[in-house]
Amino acid sequence: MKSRRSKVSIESIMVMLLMIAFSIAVSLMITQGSQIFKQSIDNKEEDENLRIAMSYINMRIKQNDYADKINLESNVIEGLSAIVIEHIDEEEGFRSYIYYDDNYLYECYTDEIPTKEISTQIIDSNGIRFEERIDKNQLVIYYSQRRGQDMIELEQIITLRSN
Amino acid sequence: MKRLLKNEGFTLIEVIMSIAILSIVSAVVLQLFISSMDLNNKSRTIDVAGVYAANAIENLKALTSEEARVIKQDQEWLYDSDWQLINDNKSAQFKLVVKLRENIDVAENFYEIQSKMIDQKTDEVLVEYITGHYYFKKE
Repeated sequence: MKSRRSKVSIESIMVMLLMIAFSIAVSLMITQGSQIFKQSIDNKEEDENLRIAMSYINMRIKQNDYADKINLESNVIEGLSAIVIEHIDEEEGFRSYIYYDDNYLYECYTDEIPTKEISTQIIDSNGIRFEERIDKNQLVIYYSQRRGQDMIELEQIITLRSN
Repeated sequence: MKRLLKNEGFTLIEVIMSIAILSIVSAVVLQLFISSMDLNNKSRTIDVAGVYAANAIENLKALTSEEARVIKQDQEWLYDSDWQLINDNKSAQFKLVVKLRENIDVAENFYEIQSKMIDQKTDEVLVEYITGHYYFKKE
């Protein structure tokens, strides 16, 4: 037992300490790295979804912008507000309802009474609300966006050509 | 197993070298994460700049032909780093410049609208949109 103890040198202890310090540093680096990576991926996905939602609504409105064919209506689908697009020509009688509910942007394209069951999920989002500026003939869409710990609203203005 | 029985281990130099290599690799990987975060932030800034620049165009489109005719000078808006509208040019990070010019070569009441968001700290143009708009005369 005596001879075994004498074999443990200062050098070995130092190496052990070095290894412990290194393993702590590596584990910290892995934890921090994975957190940064996850946050980076989440932010990227959130930004992509926001971009998709914005361009989708913009495209749907610009494509169907005819006189008095686009309106914001409240209590359309289960008490929710929706952008209502009335289609013309071959699609006469059909309407598209674009609305937000339960973290998703939905669209319902129908010639009947719109319901959530026949709606299509477009993209998930942190929050979307609509506003109509009748005096300027504008639709304003507010998108919730995470900035750090806070949520802010990003405003998208669309002026209807049909004025 | 033979090595263990012979009571041989790694030398201090070998251990230090391996730690050094692992540290360098970890630092490079972490740097990649940081670059990715920076790129995400930049992309978000450009997205927001694009929305503000597009909104400025949409607001000009809402004018009547008489209102558009009155605008002779370029319009400028200043924003801080949190995209709050401010008046102080020195503390502003972003500047939105909007130009409205009538192009009678195309048609009367046809205007070219240019909207440009500039990062004042780097003098970089983040987004620039140019569009044409015809103002109908309202009866």
